[in-house]
Amino acid sequence: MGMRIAFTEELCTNCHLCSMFCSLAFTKKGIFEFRPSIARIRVVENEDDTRYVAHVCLQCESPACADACPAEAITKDPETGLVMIDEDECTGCEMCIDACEFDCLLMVNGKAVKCEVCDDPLCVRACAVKALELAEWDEESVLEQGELYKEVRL
Amino acid sequence: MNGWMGAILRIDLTSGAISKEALDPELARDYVGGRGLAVKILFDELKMDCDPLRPENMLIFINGPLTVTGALCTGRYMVVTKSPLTGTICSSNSGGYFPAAFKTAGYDVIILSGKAEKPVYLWIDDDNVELRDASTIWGEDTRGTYDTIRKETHKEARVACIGPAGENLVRYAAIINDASRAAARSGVGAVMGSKNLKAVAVRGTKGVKVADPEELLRSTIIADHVKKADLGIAFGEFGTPLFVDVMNANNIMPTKNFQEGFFEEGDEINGAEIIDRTLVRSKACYGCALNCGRNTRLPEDAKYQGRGDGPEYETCFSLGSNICVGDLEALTKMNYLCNEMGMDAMDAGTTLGTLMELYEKGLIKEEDMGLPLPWGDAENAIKLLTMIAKCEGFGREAAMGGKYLADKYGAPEVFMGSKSQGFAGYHPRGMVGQGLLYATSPEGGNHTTGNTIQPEINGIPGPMDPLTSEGKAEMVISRQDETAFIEACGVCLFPYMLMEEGTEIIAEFYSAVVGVEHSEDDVRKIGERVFNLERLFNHRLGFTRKDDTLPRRLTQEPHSDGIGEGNVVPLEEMLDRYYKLRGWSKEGIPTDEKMKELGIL
Repeated sequence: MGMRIAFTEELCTNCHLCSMFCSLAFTKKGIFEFRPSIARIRVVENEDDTRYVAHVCLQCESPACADACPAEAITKDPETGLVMIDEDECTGCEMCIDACEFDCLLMVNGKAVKCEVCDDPLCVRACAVKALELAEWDEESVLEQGELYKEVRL
Repeated sequence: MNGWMGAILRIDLTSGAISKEALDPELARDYVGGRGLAVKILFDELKMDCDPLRPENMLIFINGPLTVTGALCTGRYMVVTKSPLTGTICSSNSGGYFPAAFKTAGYDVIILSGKAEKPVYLWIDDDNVELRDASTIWGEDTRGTYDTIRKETHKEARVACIGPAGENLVRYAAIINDASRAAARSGVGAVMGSKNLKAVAVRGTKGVKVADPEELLRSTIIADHVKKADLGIAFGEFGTPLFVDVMNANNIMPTKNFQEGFFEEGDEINGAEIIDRTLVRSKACYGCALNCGRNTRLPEDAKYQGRGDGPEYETCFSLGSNICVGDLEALTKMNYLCNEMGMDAMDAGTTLGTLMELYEKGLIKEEDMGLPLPWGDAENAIKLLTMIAKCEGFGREAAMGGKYLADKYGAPEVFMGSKSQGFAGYHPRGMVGQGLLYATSPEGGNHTTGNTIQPEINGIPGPMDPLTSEGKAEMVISRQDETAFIEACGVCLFPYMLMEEGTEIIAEFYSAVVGVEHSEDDVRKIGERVFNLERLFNHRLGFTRKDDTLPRRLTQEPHSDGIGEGNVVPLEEMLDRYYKLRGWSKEGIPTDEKMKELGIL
């Protein structure tokens, strides 16, 4: 199987450095911009401010977002294991957003986007407390992380 | 513009007019942002002799070019205005998440003037800006206000608001953001209250452009470096209350209204005790790798109940050692109360310290206050804090601050502060440079316009005797100027003040963000310009050497404890040298020559 971004809740301090640096990878060509609102990783706090959870795509084995996409713009790459969105095919209907029970997709400029795991992920580099790491996909830990996402929602 | 959003938002609360204008790039170049740029705006626009609590005063919310840029600890904003506590220019800063939302909404500065007819709050959703009715939340505490406004606006909204203390014009009222972080000092919350402005709520989705992101990625490496340093590790683990141990060990933990420098019950209110008894988890501000924040809750079987943040070190001092309270639960409760009521826990503590000493001396009586107030009486202290915030009974008088009370009850010498603002938790008799710093701070007893712990206590960059005047004028000037620059950038003081090479690093970050090379000397020069402009501002209001004072306790009564035993602060001698090096007159008046050299006039 492929790679994914693994998250350890106990280590997270809600500093948002991950989303700040993630956004840097997705700004327009030639412009360097910190724009956390377009980041593919989003840190959410619960109402009591006692839990911090970074939502980032789990690269599901059978992704609900892909099933929900009427344009078939979302596919799971059999080789890398990554769930990819074809920007040209995306019609911006937002059905994938609703389908993902982990809150891992978002809309940017009318298109759905999500984490497709960069080669050298800036979110991981920026995380000073090592709450994020680039990890091998494995079912058990993915399910665990998914449970966190359902507990502390966006 | 790299670093800046390039926009100023103006709100005239009297007419309700909202307008936007471009930020002048030359002003940004010369005064950067934060404390620097805001002071410049006030210097140019404010009717300086205005009553701080009248509509003529202006209230500025401002971030800096480094806010949300990935440089170290860039989640801060400042509130700058004419202080109702000190009568001087003042800058009060805070972290949390509000500052990042404010900046990404697309603004560097929000200038608030006039006074709304009825209570309102300002709602900024990127380009959409509106004033909304706040009559139903007027009177609410800060957590309630935060929750209500988030429900009324957007779940991602970040909120800065006042509590009852600000509404009731308590002279040391704070502005609380994210329900627990405080732009605490100098009474900025009272200015907001005087304008009938309950809150500013923001949601931002825009981006901050930077010139050189590769250089900024280096900040994560620096973060590792800071964390590996002894102080960095301790900071993350124990938060700022770790300073209880440091101050006590050096006999500079102000105790019993600065009568002493060692608090016997220090072990009951330090960072380790908080971890054992009240800590829920550590947390960071936006963009911070240090995570010194403390999310705490009082245990279910405790006498007092509540949840919130802290206490921070300064509260361990002000409402702990300073008034002889060694009960962590009572101290934590007082801290929560200050946050919920929207009141500066530091001046609340120095005001209580003044009252307890007046009470001990028999100058103020139980019948004056409606309650007895001996040293260490946490229960009555808690009652009094609520009375102050609500201006009930004697609380109305205590809301005027320690200086007012000490004068009124015939013992001006028992107020421990400068320019009417209470000191922070560093006893100047055991670190005399800190005394010079307090005396010359534009806003009196303030520890964020410079701090001398690193040079005087930790010996960084080199050994320095904390007890003598040697080298202190030079050191204080450089700390003040560096701090002024850091605070103009919209970043937290901590990492830069912790690292020996902090000034070099912030100069590199600043260069990387704005795309113009700045050396250490360049940024110090900007800091010097900001500090001198503040001085000139205060001078125009009549402030001179006669106001750069310390209480007699620090300059004449010898230190009682340990390392500094017998020592006093040689203030006049240090001031002479300080003014000379600053290029000011012997009376502390900034000269035209100096102002021209700095491009101020």
